[in-house]
Amino acid sequence: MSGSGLTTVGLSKAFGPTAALAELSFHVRPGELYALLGANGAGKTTALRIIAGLLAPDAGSVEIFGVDALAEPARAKQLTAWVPDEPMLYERLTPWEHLEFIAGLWNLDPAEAQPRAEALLRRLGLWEVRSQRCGSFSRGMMQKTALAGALLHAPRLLLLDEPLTGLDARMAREVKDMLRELVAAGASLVLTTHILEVAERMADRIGILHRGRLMAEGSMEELRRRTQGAGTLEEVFLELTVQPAAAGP
Amino acid sequence: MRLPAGSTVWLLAHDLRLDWRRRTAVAGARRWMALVITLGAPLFLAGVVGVPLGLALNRFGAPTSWAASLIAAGVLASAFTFMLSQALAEVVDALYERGDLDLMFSSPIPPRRVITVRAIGIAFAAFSVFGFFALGPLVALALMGQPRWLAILPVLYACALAATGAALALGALLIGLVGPKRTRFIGRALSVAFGSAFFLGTQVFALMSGQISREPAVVRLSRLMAGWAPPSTGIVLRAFKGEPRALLLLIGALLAVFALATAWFGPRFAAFHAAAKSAPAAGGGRAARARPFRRGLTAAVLAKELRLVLRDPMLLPQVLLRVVYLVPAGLLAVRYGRQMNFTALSGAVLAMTLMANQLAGSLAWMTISAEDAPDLLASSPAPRARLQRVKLLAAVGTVMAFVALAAIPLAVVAPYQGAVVLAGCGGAAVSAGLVNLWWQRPGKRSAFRERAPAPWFVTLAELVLGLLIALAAGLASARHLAALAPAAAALLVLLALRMPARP
Repeated sequence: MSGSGLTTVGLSKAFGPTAALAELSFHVRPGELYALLGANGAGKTTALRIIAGLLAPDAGSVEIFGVDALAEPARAKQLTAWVPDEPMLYERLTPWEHLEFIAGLWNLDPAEAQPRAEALLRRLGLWEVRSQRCGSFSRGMMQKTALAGALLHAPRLLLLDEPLTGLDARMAREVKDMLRELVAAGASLVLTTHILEVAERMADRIGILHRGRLMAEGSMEELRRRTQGAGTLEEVFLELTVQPAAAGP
Repeated sequence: MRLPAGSTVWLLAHDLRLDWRRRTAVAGARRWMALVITLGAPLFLAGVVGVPLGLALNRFGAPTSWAASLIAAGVLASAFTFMLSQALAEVVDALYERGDLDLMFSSPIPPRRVITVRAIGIAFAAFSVFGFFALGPLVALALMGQPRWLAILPVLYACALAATGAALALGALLIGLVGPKRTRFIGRALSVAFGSAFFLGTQVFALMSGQISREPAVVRLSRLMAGWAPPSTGIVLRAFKGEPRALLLLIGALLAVFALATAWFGPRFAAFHAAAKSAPAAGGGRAARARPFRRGLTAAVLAKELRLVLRDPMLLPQVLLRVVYLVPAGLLAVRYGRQMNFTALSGAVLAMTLMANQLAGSLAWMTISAEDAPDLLASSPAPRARLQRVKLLAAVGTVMAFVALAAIPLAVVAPYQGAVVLAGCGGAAVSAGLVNLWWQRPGKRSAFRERAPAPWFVTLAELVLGLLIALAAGLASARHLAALAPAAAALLVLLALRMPARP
C-alpha cells in the first residue's frame, strides 16, 4: 500500500439487512485512472460516496494522499472532487456564480480561482452561456458545469460517477482529453460507467464490483487472462458478474 | 363501476386521486387517519364552533339592513379576492410546473376538457378553505330553522369557479402581454396582491384616516362604503338568504364567467403551456458580465442564498406576501410613535414581531432545509456548523433588512420603541431560524407550499414562541415590566426545543 493516491481497506456498508459493500479494498495510484464497474446496485455509488465523505462506512478505512479521510474529513475533502451522476447544481445560479460558490466552499483565493474558472468554462464550451441560469441547460451542459466546479480547486483525487452522461460525441472527447491530462499531471481518478468501451479505452486498471464485493481487478490484459478467452471488457464483465450470481442461493 | 375512460368524470376522479395521495403523502399520515380528519374536522367545527355561533347569529334573524347587505357583498368580494389569489397561483403552477399536463395534452382527450377538469379542481381547492370554515356555522343555522343560509355554499363554490375562470383569463392575458418568461413572476406577484388586497385596503384606510379611533379600520371602512354600495349587493343578499331567483341569477352569472373562460382558454392552454415551459431562462442577455468572485465562505454562501431567494418566482411572492403584512404594521408603528400613543404602538410592535417571526421561519426553511445541492456542501471541506450559521444569517439578515425600513424611522421619533422593535423582531427571527435549524425538514424549494411539517409539538412550540416574543416586544414597547414574563417563557420554550447538533 502506498501513502499517496487513494487507498481503501475493508470498506463495508449495509443498509438494513442489505450489504451494499463488503470489505472493499483497492488502491489507485497517483497518475492512474481506475474504472469501477458493476451492475446497477453493485455498490459503486456507495463506494464513491464513502470516499467523498458523504457516507460513513460500517467498517474499513479510506486514505487520500496520506490523509485519513475518516479522521480528518475536511483535509481529505480539500484534495477531493466528486461528480455524481446527477449534477449537483443550483438551477437559478449561472455557471459563473456556481463556480464562485464552489470557490467559497473550498476557500480558494479569488485571484487564482477566477482565471481558472474562466479557463475551465472556455474549455468546456460554457463561456458564452456563463450568465445563463443552469436550469435552462441541457443535461450535457449541466454535466459540464458540474465538472468545471469539480476541477476548480485542482483536486488530486477525482471521483466521477458516469461522467459522460448526456455529452455529445465532441464534448465527450474533450472531457476524456481533460481527464487524461489530469491523470498525466499526477491526479488519481476513479470513474464508474455503464459504457464499458469507455472504461476499456481509458482506464489503466479496472475493478469489477458485484453485490458489494470486488470480484476482479487489474489491467485489461490481466482481466482477459483471468477469464481465459474473453475478448472484450463486456465479455469479461459478463463472465465475472453472471457466474457468481448463478451460483448464488 | 368503471368510469368511461377519457370522460370528464374519469379525469376528475384521476385528479382527485392524485390530489388525495399528494396531500396524505405531505401530511405523512395514514390514509384512514387523513380520511377521518378530512370528514371529521368540519363536523367537529360544526359542533364546537357552529352551534354557539349559530345561536348567536340566530338572535339577529334574517339580515335586511344595509349593514348586512354590505357585509354579505363584502364577504363575497373579499372571498373572491382570496380565491382569485389562490386560483391564479395554481394556474401559474399549472402553466410551468405540472408535468402531467404534457401527458394529457399528448393524449387524444380534447385540451378543453383537460383544462375544465383541472379548473374544477383548482376552484374546489380555493373553495375548500371557505367551505371548511363556513360549513359548521351554516349547518348549525340550518338545524336551527334557517336552512336558507346553506345557499351560501353553492354561491361560494360558483364564486370559486368564477375566480378560477378569471385566473385562467388573467394567465392568458399575461402571457400575451409580458410573455411567458415574465408571466411566472408577475402572475405570482399578482396572486400575492389579490390575496392581500383586503388587508391592505383596511390598512391603507387606517393610515390615511387622520384620527386615532377605537373602532377597527374595517368597521370604519364599511361605514364609509355604505354610502356607495352597488345595486348588485341586493342580489347577493337575496341569494345569501336563499331566494331562488336571485340565487340562480348569481350562480348563473358566476358559472358563465367560468364557462366562457374555459371555452376560450382551454383549447389555447396547451400552446401557452408549451410556450411557458420553453421560455428562455433569465439572465441570458448579460453574457458579457462576469462579476469578480467574492472572497471567503461567508460571502459566497450569503450571495448564493440571497440570489436563490430573489430569483425564485415561486418563493419570492411568498416572501413578499409576508413583507406586505409587515410594512403597514411598521408604518402604523411610526405613526403611533410620533403621536406618543404607546398603547396603540404596542399593538403594531406585536404585529411586526409576529410577521418577522413568520418571515424568518419561511426564509430559514428555504436556506437551511431546502438546500438543492446538499451533497455538494457535504463533499466540500467547509464545516457544516459554519455553513448552517451563514445560512441562518442569510435568513435573519433578510428579515432584519425589511424590519429596519420601519424600525429606523420609528427610532428617530421614539428611540426606545425603535430599539424594542429591532430587539423583538431580531429575537423572533433568530428563534424561528434556530427552530428550523434544530428541526430540519429537508425538501425541495419548489415544494415550499407543500413542505413537510415538523412534529406537531414543534409546530405548536414554534407558534407559541412567536406569540410570546411578540407579546414581550409589545409590552416592552409600552414600558411594561410584565414584558419580562413572556420573554422568560420564550427563552424556556427555545431551550426546550434545542436539539443536539448532528455530526
